[in-house]
Amino acid sequence: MTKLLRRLGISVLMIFLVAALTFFLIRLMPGNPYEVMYHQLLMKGMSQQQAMDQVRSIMNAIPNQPVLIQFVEWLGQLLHGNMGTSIQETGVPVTELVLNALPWTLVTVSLGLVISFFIGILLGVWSASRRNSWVSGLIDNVGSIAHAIPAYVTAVALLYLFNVVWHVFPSSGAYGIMETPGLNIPFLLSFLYHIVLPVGTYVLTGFGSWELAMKSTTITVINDDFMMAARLRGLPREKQMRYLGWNSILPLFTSFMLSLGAMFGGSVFIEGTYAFPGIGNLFATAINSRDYPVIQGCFLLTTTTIIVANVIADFAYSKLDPRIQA
Amino acid sequence: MMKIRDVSKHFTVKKGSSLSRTRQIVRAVQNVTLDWDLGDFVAIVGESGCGKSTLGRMLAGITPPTSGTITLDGEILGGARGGAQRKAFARMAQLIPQDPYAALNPVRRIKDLFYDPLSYHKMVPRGQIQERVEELLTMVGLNPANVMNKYPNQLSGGQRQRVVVARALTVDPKFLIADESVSMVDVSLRIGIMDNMKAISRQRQLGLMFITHDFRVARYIAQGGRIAVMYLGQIIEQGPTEEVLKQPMHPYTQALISAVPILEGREQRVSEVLPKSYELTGVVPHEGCPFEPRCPLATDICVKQAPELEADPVIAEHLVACHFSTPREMVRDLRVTSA
Repeated sequence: MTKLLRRLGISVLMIFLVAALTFFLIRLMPGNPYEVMYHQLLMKGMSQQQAMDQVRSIMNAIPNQPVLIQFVEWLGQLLHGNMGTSIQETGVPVTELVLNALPWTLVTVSLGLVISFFIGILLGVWSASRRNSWVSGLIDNVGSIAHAIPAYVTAVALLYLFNVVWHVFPSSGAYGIMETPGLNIPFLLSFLYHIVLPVGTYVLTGFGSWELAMKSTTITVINDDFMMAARLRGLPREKQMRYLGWNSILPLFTSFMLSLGAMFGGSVFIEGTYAFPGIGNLFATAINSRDYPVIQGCFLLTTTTIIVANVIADFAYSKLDPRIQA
Repeated sequence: MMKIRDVSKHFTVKKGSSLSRTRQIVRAVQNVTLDWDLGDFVAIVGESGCGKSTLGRMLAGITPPTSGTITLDGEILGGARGGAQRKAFARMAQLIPQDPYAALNPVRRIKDLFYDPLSYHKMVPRGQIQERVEELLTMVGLNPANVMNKYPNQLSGGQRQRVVVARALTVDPKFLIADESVSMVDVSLRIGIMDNMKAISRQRQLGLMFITHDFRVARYIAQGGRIAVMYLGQIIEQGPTEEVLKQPMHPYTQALISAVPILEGREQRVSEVLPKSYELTGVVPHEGCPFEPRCPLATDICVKQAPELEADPVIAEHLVACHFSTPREMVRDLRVTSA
């Protein structure tokens, strides 16, 4: 229990450090939001004078203070659950933006992760059991190639094939314009229909690494003496497969939990391609327009997700594998 | 009674890259013939790579022989691959693997290791499984209360090896094959485990086969039993333990015994046979005697013609495969002669 508390304490400290780091790093980026906004307003067709006036009136909110004092103030607000308001979408609280975007991303990313994990595990075991035949080579190569292609390329390719060429799946959004988000069947169906391509992209780019990792652990375990012992005792095949599966999946468990965070990062490209209203898209837009508060919010959320996943993985792992003591 | 007749096992090894792949046949076990009765203690001795483990796996039914037959009480054992036959075979012969660290499923508690085979083979009524596990653990000299609920990683090497032995006994086998089963255990604990195995085998009239590279282990296990010496997949000498040790006839056996350190003051080295090379030669002769490249006594006939395993004219149970076999006393036990 004390271990758990200590672990949690360290996690909170880590989240704080990351928050501080992002706060300062963002302010080191070249360019400033005033200029960005000014140019954007110009592009919208305003005159220079008009644009300048508007920027001034909006940016009044930004205090003209030293960065350190800004930081302390920001931190105090953060502890109250206030991450500030967006610069681009004037006046909208960052918390609201982030929390609106989060569920979309969470559902698609988790679905993609779980599906790619299961496909990878099954293919990995299959490849390991046929490791002397061409089947194994085929599975491994397909897995590595799919994994090696960058997610944004896969996303564009899928979009082109299934939307432009075959008109099978929608190109953007998380649900049809006719539906009202909520727990109703038409919305859920429309949502599932819309996330086929994003989830498909996560799966296609993700299953290869699971397959290869699973294959290698399975081959190690299959040759262990305790597997021979199970065969020696004539235990049924299902039982042997259970021993084999459990022992081979264990080492993958930690990376499974960690990749949740990695996939949040990956969502930047994928959600951009599918114009999906998730965290990734929000993040990309915020970076492009130097919307500091929103960038910070996204950063904070992503790192918190990774750190929490890490803690859960550590504790769950010690429960799953008796060789690891928590 | 297990009758092993002309049993061979060949493996095909692929070499080279996927483009220029050559196949090579490795003859792991060649024409091994052996009778093994209940209550019979047999030691198989040989250096690593001589095929002794493959032989053990074939006798345990998890590696099908390439040719030859293994009959058990007159019934021919096939590949033993199918579920039903595998299940039946499991109750006849069990192999005790070498490495007690790898032989126990790391994520299952000790009592769970016993639960599956006991319930699957319906060895005891469901309600008595717990009792039976305790009985088995006690039999191998462990305190059931201490180990039942632990995971394998919480046990010492010696304890693990005992658990491995106990687990092999879950299905009540008639034949027990121990493949180097004490080589991973601390020397100080070996005698205890070996005594335990011998006592159990004697008490239940099991056939015990001990596969080892160590003549001292072989002598200890197979007291009053038999020793078979293997070289490159073939049995080259076989006979009653005391006979083979006292007067080995094959130069390879003689060389092996020459390599065993003696106890100064208690034993005395009478003669030594040294092989031409201490390592396996790369070339394995297909004709002629397999030991010929390393044999200090080899002549032309050894290159041309492989010697048959033949009985010694004096002691019929002592078989040897050598053109120049001569009984030779290697080590004299001073305690025996002085008494």
